[in-house]
Amino acid sequence: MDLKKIKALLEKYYNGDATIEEEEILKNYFQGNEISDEFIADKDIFMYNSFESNIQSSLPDLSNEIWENIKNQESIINRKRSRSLNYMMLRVAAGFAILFSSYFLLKNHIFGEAQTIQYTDTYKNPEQAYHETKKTLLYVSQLLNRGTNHLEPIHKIEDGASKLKSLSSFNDGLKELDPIKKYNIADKYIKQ
Amino acid sequence: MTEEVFKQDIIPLNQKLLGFANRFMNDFDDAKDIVQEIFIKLWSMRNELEKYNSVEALAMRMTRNLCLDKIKLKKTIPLNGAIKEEPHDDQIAKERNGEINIAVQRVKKSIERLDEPQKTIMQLRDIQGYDYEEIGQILNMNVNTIRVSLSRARKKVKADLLNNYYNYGSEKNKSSVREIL
Repeated sequence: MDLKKIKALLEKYYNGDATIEEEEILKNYFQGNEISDEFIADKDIFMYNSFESNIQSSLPDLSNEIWENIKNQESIINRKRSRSLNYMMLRVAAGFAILFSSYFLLKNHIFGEAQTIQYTDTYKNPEQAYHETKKTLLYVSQLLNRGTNHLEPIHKIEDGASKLKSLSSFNDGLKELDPIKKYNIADKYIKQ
Repeated sequence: MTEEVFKQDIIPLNQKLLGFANRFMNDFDDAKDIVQEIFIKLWSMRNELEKYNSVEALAMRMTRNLCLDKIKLKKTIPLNGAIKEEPHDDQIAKERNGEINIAVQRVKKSIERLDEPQKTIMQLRDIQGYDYEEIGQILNMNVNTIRVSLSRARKKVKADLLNNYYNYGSEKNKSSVREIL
C-alpha cells in the first residue's frame, strides 16, 4: 500500500478526523507483515486495537446467567417483602398481646385485691346455705350480746344522777333568802 | 417494557458492557459482577427505558459510572500492586507470545496513563467501534469535544510509546534506565 496514503490516513486518525472506514483500512494495513519502521509506534497501537477488539468479540455471552440473576434477585426481594410483611403482622400481634396482658395485670394491681376475691358457691342446696347463714349470724349476735351485757353497770351511774335531783329543792331555799338583799341596802343607807 | 423485549433487546448488550467494564477493572470477575449489577438496575427501571433515545448508551454510561465508583473505592486501599506488577507483566508477555503481546502490554500501559474521559473515549472508539454520536450519548458530551479529546489521547499514547520504548524525545535516557532497573 502507498506509504503516503497511509501517512495521510494516520494523520487523520491522530486528529480524530478519520472515518470508521478509514480506520478499518489502517487496521488492515497494520495487520500485514511489511510495515515501515517509521510507523513502529502506530503499529503497536493498531495491534493493540485489533487484539482488544478480538478479545471484545470473543467475550462470553452472559445472557442466561444475567437473566437467572435477575430472577433470583427478584425472588429475594419478594421474599424479603413478604417476610417484612410477616414481621409487621407479628409486631402488631405482639403489641396487642402486650396491651391485653398489661390491661389485665394492671387492672388487678390498681383496683386492689378486693375485686380479686372470688365468690363461689360453697353450698349446693340453698336451704342448707340459708340455715348455715342463719346459724352464723346468730352466733355473731350472741357474741355481740355478751359484749353489751358488760355495759349493764351503767344503770348505777344513772341512779346516782337521779338522786342529785333533790339539789333543786336546795335551790328553792336559796331563793327564799333573796329578801336579805333588802337589809343590805338598808344597811348602806344607815352608814351614809 | 415487557420481559420479552427486555430479553431480546437489552440483555444481548451484555457482551459490550462486559468488554467495557473489563477494560476499566482489569479483572474479568469484577467486570462480570458489574455487568450483573447493571442489568439488575436496568431491569428495575424497565418501565422507564422507552423514554431513552438509546438504551445502549444509557447502559454504557451506567457501566462506566459504576466502574469509576468501584475503582475509587478500590483506590482507597493503599496498594501499589499495579505499578509493581508492571515489569513482571512485561516479562511474561515477552516470554509468551512475542511481538503482539509486548505491543499490547505497552499500549495498555500508555493508555492506562491517560486521564478520564480520554481513556474511555479511546476505548469506545478504537476497541468498541462506536461513532462520535454514540460516544457523545454515552458520555453526555459534545461531539466536537470528543473528537478533540480522542485526538489528544491518541497522540499522547503515541508520544508515550515513542518516549518509553523507542528512545525518542528528551526523556529517553531516564526511562530506559528505569526499564533496565
